[in-house]
Amino acid sequence: MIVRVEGLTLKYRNALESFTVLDIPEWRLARGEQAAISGPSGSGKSTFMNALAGLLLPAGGRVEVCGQDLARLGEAERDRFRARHVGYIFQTFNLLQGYTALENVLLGATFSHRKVDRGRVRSLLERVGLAHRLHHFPSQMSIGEQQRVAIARALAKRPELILADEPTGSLDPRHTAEIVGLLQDACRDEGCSLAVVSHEAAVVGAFARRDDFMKLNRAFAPSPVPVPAAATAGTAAEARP
Amino acid sequence: MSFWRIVAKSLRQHWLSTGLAALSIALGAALLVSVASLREQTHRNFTQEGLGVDAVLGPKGSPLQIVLNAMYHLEEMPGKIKWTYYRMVLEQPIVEGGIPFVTGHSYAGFRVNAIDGRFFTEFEYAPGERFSFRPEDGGRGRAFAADDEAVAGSEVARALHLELGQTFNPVCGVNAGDPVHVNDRIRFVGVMAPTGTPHDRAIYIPLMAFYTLGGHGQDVRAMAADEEHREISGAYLRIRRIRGGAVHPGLQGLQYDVNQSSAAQLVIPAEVLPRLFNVIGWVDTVLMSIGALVTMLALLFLFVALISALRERKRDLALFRCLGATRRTVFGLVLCEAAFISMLGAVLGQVLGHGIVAAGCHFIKVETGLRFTAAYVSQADCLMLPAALALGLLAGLMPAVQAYRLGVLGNLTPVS
Repeated sequence: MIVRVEGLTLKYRNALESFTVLDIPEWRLARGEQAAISGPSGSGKSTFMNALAGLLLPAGGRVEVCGQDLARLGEAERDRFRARHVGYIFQTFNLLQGYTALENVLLGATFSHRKVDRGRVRSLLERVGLAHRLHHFPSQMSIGEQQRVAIARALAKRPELILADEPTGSLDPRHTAEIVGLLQDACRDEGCSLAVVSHEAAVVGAFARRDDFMKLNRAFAPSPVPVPAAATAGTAAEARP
Repeated sequence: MSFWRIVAKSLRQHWLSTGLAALSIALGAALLVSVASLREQTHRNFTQEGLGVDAVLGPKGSPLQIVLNAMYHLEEMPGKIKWTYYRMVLEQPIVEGGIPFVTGHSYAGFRVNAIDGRFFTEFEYAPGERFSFRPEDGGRGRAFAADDEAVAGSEVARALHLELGQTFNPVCGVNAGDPVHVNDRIRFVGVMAPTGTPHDRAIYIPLMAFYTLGGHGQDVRAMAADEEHREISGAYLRIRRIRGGAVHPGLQGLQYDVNQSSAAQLVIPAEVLPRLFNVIGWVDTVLMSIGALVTMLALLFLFVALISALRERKRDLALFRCLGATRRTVFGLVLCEAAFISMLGAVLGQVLGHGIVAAGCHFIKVETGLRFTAAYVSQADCLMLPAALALGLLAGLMPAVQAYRLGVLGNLTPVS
């Protein structure tokens, strides 16, 4: 099992009160498995991804990734763990603007301390169809191309788990299908597990396993909305050492 | 991609603020380096072995004035001393030798000193260094051999475009409007090789020529033959050395004895020159203070540049964190950038500072005859890099702490 979540609760506090943003009794992802998690905006999907990546620490329960209970690691250890085992593709196009496509992908492996040669990086970029864009900066690429770079970057360090948070959020339907297919194929080729959260039916429909986050997350109540997006803004449970 | 590559990339990304911060530090450092170098070299020039003179026997008056006149060809001698008294001092066991001179004449703004001919054969303007007329050293001609012959220092020859054989009429005095010895034509027969000392800025005629100059009164002319009444301005004295090359400690006793008399005083340049240095020392204190202030302002600029760069880079740093960089790594990134910028500024400042000294050397030499070198390594040079590193780290500390405390998720916002 690559991911094992048991009794996960995560709270968001503001000056007046505290809300439970996540309350997930159980969720698992097997090695090599690919799953789509669907749910409306504000249901806490991104917060869940951040908890799986070790960027947020749960208030209760257990998040185990690659057999490691994340709560048992200090912040720096969680950073290093993430660098080695987890590839993260964001909702928005988070490439480093001052770095070329090649450098962005290289950077993905820099902090993992795993030896990644330029040959692999080039072949990954070729794999995502960007052989002609190696030395282009993000500002010189289309949004779809930037997202391909993000996929290559996530895969560069040979992680066991790829987390993708709304990876097609800004793409048109044709590119959405392309990117989702690419992501699925690349993860299959690299032998890593994939968890994608999306509110788009086209994305979720491409996966054999589809988890409804509204059923998964007992804390989600359509009204009143506790602004869970704020929790992802890092002000709440974002972990400190 | 290595940590250092990321630092280099970040510096390149913010090249304008990096460059301006480094440049402003360089300007402050250059000022500090050049002022320190000039100050230390001035000090060395003024105090080194008294320019080859252990002691100056001169008339009563200000010791500083005597040194300035005898050795720097400035000011005027406050009076004269008796030749017989000089002879008596010369006979003291610790006095190895003396070179008497008479000052008070000039030509074209340069001093004309009447001096004993042994000045060219025995006088050492620096340890082991004697005046040379050899062309390979940059000299010309020979030492004077007759009363109507003169020798010029290299700066005099350069400034007046002197040719050997050229003649001149000395001025009886050192001020504008003093009378000219119209009937005494003296011929240049030699130009001394450059020495980098004030001696390059004087003209020398034979000691006895002073007494025989036509314009002088009968009483002065009589001094040429009458040693009993002969007067001189002073004499350079060479004192016997003790083991280890130090000046014989009896010099202090001799100085006391001479100074007790009403006839003359004994001035030890190595004691007087630091006093002169102290008088002019405030100038470089002011310059050093300005240099320190500029450097501090530059570091403040670096601090502001780093803080504002950090604002632009929050997203990048959050991304680094998300990719697995620890807080310590991003802290180190910002700190290394600060250290690099300040070190770059310090190195540039040293190059620039030595460049300023190199440019100034020529003018200082021409104006004062003092020799400076751009290659001189001052205390400021030795301290510059460690100090720049320490201050750079200090300037970068707060931005680095801010980077350390940066929240990851809150800063992962889209660019467009």
